[in-house]
Amino acid sequence: MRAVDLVCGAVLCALSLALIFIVIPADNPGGRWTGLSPYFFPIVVAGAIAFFSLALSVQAARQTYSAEEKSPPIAWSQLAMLLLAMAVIIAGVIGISRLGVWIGGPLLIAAIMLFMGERSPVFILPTAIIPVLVVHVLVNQFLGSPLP
Amino acid sequence: MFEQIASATVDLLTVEVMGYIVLGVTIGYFVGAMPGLNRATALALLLPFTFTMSPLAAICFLIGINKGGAAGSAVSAILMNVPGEPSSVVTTLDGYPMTRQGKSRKALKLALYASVIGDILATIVLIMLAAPLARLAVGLGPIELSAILLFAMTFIAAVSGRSFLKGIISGLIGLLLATPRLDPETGMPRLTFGFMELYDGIPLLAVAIGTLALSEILVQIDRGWRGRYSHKNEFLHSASSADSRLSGKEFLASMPAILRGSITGTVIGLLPGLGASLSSFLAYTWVKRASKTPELFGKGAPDGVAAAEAADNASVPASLIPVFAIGLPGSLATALLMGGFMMHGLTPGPFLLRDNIELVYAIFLGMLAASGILLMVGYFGQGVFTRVITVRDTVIIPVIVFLCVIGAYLEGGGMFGVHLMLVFAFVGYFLKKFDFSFVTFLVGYILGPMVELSMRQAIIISDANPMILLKHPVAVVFLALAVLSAWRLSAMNMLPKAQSRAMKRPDGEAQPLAKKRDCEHR
Repeated sequence: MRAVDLVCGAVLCALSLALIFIVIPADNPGGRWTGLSPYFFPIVVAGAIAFFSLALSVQAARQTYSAEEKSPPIAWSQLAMLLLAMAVIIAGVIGISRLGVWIGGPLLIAAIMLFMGERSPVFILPTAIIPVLVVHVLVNQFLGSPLP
Repeated sequence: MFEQIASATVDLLTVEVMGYIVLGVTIGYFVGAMPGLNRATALALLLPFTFTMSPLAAICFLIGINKGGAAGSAVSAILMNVPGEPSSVVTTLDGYPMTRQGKSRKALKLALYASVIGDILATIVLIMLAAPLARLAVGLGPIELSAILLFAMTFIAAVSGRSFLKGIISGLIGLLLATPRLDPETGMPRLTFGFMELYDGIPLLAVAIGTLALSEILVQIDRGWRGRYSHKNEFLHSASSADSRLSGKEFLASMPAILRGSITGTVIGLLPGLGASLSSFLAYTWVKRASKTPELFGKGAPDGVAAAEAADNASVPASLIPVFAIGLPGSLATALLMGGFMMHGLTPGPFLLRDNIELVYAIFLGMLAASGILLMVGYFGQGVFTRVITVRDTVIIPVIVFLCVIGAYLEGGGMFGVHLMLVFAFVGYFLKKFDFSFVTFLVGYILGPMVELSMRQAIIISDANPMILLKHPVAVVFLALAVLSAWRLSAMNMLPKAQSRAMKRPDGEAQPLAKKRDCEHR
């Protein structure tokens, strides 16, 4: 059991308690009901999460662990790369929603390829265009659904 | 009955349905062969493209992907020592040594034949067991159903990860995610915070694509995708035809291993949560123990490849037995298949067999047809697939990200679904990083509405009096089993133990996992 479980359990416990005591009371649809409340099931589940998260923390606190197990599963460099990758993907998604799939799609694919270190236009151009073309034909002609 | 089977055959034997089965098996085989991709990812990505298909074509297409993926994962395991799926780790133990000995083609053929035989045998067991089990399940009331669902969640949490507590928390998070929607009793919006897109619940595809597909791409960042974006083509094909040909005698010699693998895969596969990985490890251990030459295992024993692949593929149809019988998915792939059923207005479980028996027969026949098609696709396409796995990651990964965006857009209410998918990609990333079970998470999410409904009905029927359980012995048995699962099974840590047994060398040393990180998520 890693030391991180201690923190993980505490955070999940706090979040589920916040759900029970802050979020659910704030979500008032303004109706009336008889019998079981619509919030009965979410409260039961959130309560169970709080209970088991607390148990996870207690279990982690009571166990001894090696130095390796104490280290966090995500290094700061990995977190930075994750955020950078997500930023590229989110920018691509914004591109698709603003410019449409014809322009945003190839831009998204090309941006990720560049981010991954691909520099050859011989690979970037066809990879960015062909899947968008295929998906456009498939979705529009075959599924009959509109794309952004 | 014969009329229904004849009618199902007519439904199945159309160009549309058969074409989709071929397409599904081919895509599945391709995805399975690609290291880093798996069938659950493919199922999540391709679910939105089944919207316009008929229910039969859609289900057969998805089952084809599942079957093809299980068989295709052997390709990279044998040729590159990189399992296409976690369940193929065992195949690398003897498959890759065979490649190093110049017997890669023989290993690939044996793996294919073992996969197909395991698949067919387990499909026959599915056909024989699903209907009788469903008949039993029809009589279950909400109290029994609640107890069974509680047992299933506990059992899956206990066996599917390293920590029972994390498993059960994952399942509960899945259940919680199923609650924002219109309340089933009053019809009032609940936890939707003014988003009308959430009235039908959080879209399945946003959850599935985000947590399974896109989060996997994000995890690959950690593995350093720079510098590893081309797989080396170093397959050691032999010049000798004797080494590349699989003779009838060699095939027959491996039949006992194939049968043992098929039995293990079927038995383990039908239990929710245990998954293909455990069945492969157990089958490998069984065959190794029964072998007259156990010292050859780990050094290129064909029986090792045959047992592992037969078990892996047998677990695919077997895992559908609880889906058809009681509507209970036990793995990521079956949870997504169940999502596919629901998207087409079908609820898997006993009532599907009662009310749509022709469709169910057609699906069963389609599964048998998929096994035959798998043999052909694998046999004739092996040359192509061995080349395809060398495609650069820099080509594959950006295209997958694009497909993730389009898939989430198609089902999830436009860009709202895409935004939700991005959120769930983060959730999935941290679930993976912190070792939370994905299977219980997705099963919890898919079963959420059913769990809530049966629990509410049980409370109303019993007037919240627990003593009513005394009148429902089936529920008591399943509740006792749930407690037993949490108490005993979670302490057993079945997969790690099976892994260490399977990987023990004859000299007593344990072999390192070919790619430990690929075993992480079942």
